Amino acid sequence: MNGSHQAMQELENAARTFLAPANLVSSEQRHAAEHVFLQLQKTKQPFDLCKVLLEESQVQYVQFQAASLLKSAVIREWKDLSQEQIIGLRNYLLRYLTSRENMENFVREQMVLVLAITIKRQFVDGDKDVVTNILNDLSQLIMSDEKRLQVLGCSVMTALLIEFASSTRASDVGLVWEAHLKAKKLFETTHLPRIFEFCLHVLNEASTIQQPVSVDAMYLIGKFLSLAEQILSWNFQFTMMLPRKLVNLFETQICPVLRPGFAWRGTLLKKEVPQLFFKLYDMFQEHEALGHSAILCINQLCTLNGSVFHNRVDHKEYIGWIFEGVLELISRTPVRAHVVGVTEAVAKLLMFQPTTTVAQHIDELNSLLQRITALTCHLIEMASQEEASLADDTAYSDSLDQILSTWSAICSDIAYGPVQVEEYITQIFTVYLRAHLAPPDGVKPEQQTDDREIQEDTEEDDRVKYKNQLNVIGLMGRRALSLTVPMVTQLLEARTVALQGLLEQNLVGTYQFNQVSEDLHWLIMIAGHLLSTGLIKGETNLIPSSITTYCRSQEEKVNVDNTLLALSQPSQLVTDASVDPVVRLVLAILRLCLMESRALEARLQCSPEVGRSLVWFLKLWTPVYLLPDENQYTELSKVLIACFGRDSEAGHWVLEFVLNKLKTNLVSWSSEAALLSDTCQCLMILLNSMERGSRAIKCPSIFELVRLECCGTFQNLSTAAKRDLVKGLVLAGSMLKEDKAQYFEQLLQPLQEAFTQLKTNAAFRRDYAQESVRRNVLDLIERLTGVVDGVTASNSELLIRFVLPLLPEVGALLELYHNYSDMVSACIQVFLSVACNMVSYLRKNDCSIVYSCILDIMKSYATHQTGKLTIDPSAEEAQYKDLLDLLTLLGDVLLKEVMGFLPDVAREAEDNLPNQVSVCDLAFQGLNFLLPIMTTELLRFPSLCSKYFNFVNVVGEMYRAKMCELPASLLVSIFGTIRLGVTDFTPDVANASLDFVAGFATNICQSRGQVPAIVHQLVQPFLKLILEMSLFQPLDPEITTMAGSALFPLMCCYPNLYKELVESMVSAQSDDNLKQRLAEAFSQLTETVQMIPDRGNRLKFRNAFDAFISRVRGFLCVK
Amino acid sequence: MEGEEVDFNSAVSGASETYPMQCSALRKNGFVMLKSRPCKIVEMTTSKTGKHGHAKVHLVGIDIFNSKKYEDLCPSTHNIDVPNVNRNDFQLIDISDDGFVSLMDDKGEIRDDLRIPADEELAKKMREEFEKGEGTVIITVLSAVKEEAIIACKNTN
Repeated sequence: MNGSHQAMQELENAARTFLAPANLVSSEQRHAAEHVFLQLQKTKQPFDLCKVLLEESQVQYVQFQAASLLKSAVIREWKDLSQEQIIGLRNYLLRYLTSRENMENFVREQMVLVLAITIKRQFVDGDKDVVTNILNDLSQLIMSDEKRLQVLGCSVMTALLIEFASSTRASDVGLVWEAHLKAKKLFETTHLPRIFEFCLHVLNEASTIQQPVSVDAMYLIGKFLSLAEQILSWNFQFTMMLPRKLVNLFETQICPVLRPGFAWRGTLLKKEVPQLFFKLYDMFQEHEALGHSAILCINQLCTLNGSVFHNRVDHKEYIGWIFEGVLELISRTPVRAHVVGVTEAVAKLLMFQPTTTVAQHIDELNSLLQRITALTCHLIEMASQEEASLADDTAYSDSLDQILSTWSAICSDIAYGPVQVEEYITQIFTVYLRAHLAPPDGVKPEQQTDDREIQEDTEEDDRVKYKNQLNVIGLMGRRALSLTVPMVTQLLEARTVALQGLLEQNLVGTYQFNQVSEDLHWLIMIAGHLLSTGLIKGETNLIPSSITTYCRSQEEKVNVDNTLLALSQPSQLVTDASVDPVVRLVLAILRLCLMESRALEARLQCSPEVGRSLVWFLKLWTPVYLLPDENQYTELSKVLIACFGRDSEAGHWVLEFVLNKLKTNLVSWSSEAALLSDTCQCLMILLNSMERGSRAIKCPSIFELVRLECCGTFQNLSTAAKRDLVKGLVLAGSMLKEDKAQYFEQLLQPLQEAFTQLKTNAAFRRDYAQESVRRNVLDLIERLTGVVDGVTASNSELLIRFVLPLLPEVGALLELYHNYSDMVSACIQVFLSVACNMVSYLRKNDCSIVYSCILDIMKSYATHQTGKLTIDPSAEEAQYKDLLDLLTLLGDVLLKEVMGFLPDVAREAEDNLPNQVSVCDLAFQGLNFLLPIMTTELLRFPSLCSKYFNFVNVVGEMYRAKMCELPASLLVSIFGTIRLGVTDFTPDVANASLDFVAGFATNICQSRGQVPAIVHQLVQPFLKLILEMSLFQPLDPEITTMAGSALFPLMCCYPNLYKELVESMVSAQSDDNLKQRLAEAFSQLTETVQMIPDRGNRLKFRNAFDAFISRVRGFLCVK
Repeated sequence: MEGEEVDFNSAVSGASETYPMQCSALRKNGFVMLKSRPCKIVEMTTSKTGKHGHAKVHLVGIDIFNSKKYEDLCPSTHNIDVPNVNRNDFQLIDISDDGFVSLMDDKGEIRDDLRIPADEELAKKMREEFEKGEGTVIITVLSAVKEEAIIACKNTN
């Protein structure tokens, strides 16, 4: 005992030092104190010591350390504890917790955790009554009058729930996850309902308390509400035996749906249950924490489904109860703090309950929809105020998103067929529109002068920010087109006239101007979403059928000729009622485009934001409506075909109009980088179609664009924009059936000539470094990249003939400009694009030429970068980016080879052509050039690191035999990085590296050791490394499996070494008991496995290794 | 706004120290004159005043000679001066006791008017590589607006 007291004295002193203010102790003293506690945590069999510390020390921090030690000791030494010791410990813990007053929260929680862990371990070991007994004890505590004991009871209950709910902590308590899962299953059917019933009982009493509720009672109610929330968010679904990584996936779901088994019927299927929580929310909605818990419980109850329902009648009845509560809930204006929770309840109810059953409550559903409409309108207004006040908190906006996505489901689910939603929808559409327009038409809150500084690069623009909202508004609008189309058209026309007036009076930049611009910006966005379903990746966007139906329904009133006449005079306001309403809406946008172009040409300053919205509209609208592929439709509107169809004159006229608008943007908005990028992207999308591309070539605007491009007008565009522009022009030409060569000559010859000039011009050799010359060259390189970006199957032959001879020139430029990082990077981009877009179309011989060009630039790059020391602060970042690009390039080629997209150069080389470069040569020589530059510092960049290791792993996988024959120095470097990869970086990188090692080891086994000695020397040390990692380090669960897969073939290759390592590890243990346990664990690891790395044994080993790790980690790896 | 035909003859040898460029055409990692000092652009962001305002460019540059940081904010339509920056490689021939170095360019012409750099690590590397006597020691000299400095060193070996 004396020893313990002495230790306590020492620990108390250390605690004082450790917690002393910074000015009183030195950092060495603090470290020494910290060391004392670190050592303490490693104490073996510390139970008596812990008791002394817990009972006698007056220093709370020492008590906390003792509790932590107790926790790790229970986990570590569980198997060594006798039944009596365990029972003694549990009773001690409970007694300690109940008898001590004035305990600090952090000490109490730590002790509660130890108790919970002990109970769970006993339960796992087969003690069926332990949970029942503790629950009895806890309910007594909670029913007592003493607040301290009540709090304690709740704490233990919460801790128990956490311990039983999760199995991802498996390694933390030394149990394999199957054990966790079994315990969880048993617990959730036998004990969880009882705990829930108990919560209901307490909460029921709470719901009858008279207001105002005392603070103490509130505290307890809060505790029980969060217990109920914990139970209602219990992950019942997850009951299958799944691989560990999937377990993680399931368990990280934040609130899974409530899907308990049949056993829960009696507990949950009572009207009183939902009623209680609705009532509690009602009572406590003004209270932030309690209201929050209550609404979360309601949310979970809204999701109830699964086998708990015996039949549909059950289910229908339950939905009826929930309906009642939710109706009541949303008939009141929600408190701001819980507005998200309230909308979520509605969303969950409609999402998780089967529509057919919901639709059976037709009256309730109708009133529900009515109230949801009112709620939605309220949210639209509040969100708009929130936006205007520039608040950071976006509760209303988030709720609005939520409720609108619910509407989207309602609008598209035919099961709601009998319900008339049109009325609600038009109401919401109108309110939304008004909320975004300035008075008098709208109600948008007046913003004082808008002088915010908006960071364009970091702040999302409205088109992105409100995309989801607008998508639903568009969807709703299409349900009532006869109302919405004329409404939006009229507003657009009126605002355009207003803008015209402001421009003429030169009121640009005034408050009025901003207001009209803002209105137009929103109207354009709404019009765009109304006419198109928005871009869906991988699908052809079509004209929505509702639009076609609407146009057709108007045919009687519409005169096609009048419509065409109106379209041909976009500057004239439409007054003729026989013009098709959809065409009239498009015309309103085109009129705005025209007005903007004219203003720009007159050097008036328009709003760039409106300019971007217009480009956005064109980007969305043109691919769908302009020259559509009629074969895709079963039904089309005559008037739309007459105005925008392939064979219509008007369609071509509109195409030229759009191209001209984009051209004007490029020439006149030169100072708005974002708008230029959008414009180029729009152009590229517009031209990337057989029909539009080939027709566009005949438009004067395209000729003008080609002419301007060729004389360097667009030199100042950003790289991405320029590449899009050139790619667009290239794609357009590819669609031509005849005169293709002529068009390309016009487009490409100036580029070719400029490159030739670089080679021959003496002045260039002299002046190449001058800024103006450099910019010209940079422009050439970027345009060439754009050309390569545009290579497709239909133009590849022509373009390859153009591009190939220029590649060595680009290599020469990289050499010449090696001291200019921007030039180097631009040159690399050319090859990156070649690898990405062109190599698949190359002939065998050409492949080899391209590969040697790639190797030339890598060599040139490496020559100038290896071993270079520079004081340029941006050099490291530039190097990182270049290496990332070069590795991506190699990886792209390799991937295409794996997929079989490339001609087989190697085989051809064997056949008849000497000196051909194969993909394998490219990979190895590329590595050889790049490895010396790839320093550990550079590998700290996560994306480069992951790229490199995955690349090396793939190279190893593809060319292992050849890799074994590489020069020793290169192999040593590669394996050196692999070693770092295993130990130093992220789990993803460690996995790739381990996979690499596993591949080699398996290969060595299968080739019966027939590999060069150097390979053995390099592979063998990984056996020790991985073994030690697995035993002594807290191995990330994500890499455990891969560590096992690498370890097994290594053990097969080097059985003797393995034996030695095992023996030395066992004998290194000082404790005899540990020695024996470790030796047993090792023998269990291999007892069912044959040392042959075939599939069967690999799988057996995987399971054995998993068990081995959790067995051994508990006593070797002190956490 | 239409550009001119590309003509590499137009740049006259010994061209001006700076030349003007529209702000929006600048790029990250390019060069710019900030507070009359030649800088490398390390950060370039655009912002606007109000949703319907016009773009402004915010530039952060590092002086290429003394690594001091400068910032500027200007409307993207404005012109700004860009320095002509040269980076030439020389072979290191000698390091004299008084801290000057002898360098030879690719035409065999020798100059010895440059001091060993103030950066200790770089100076140390230059001395070490030179004393090794193996391979060729290549020095990169940065020059702009009448100023020059050694910024990098590597051994071709």
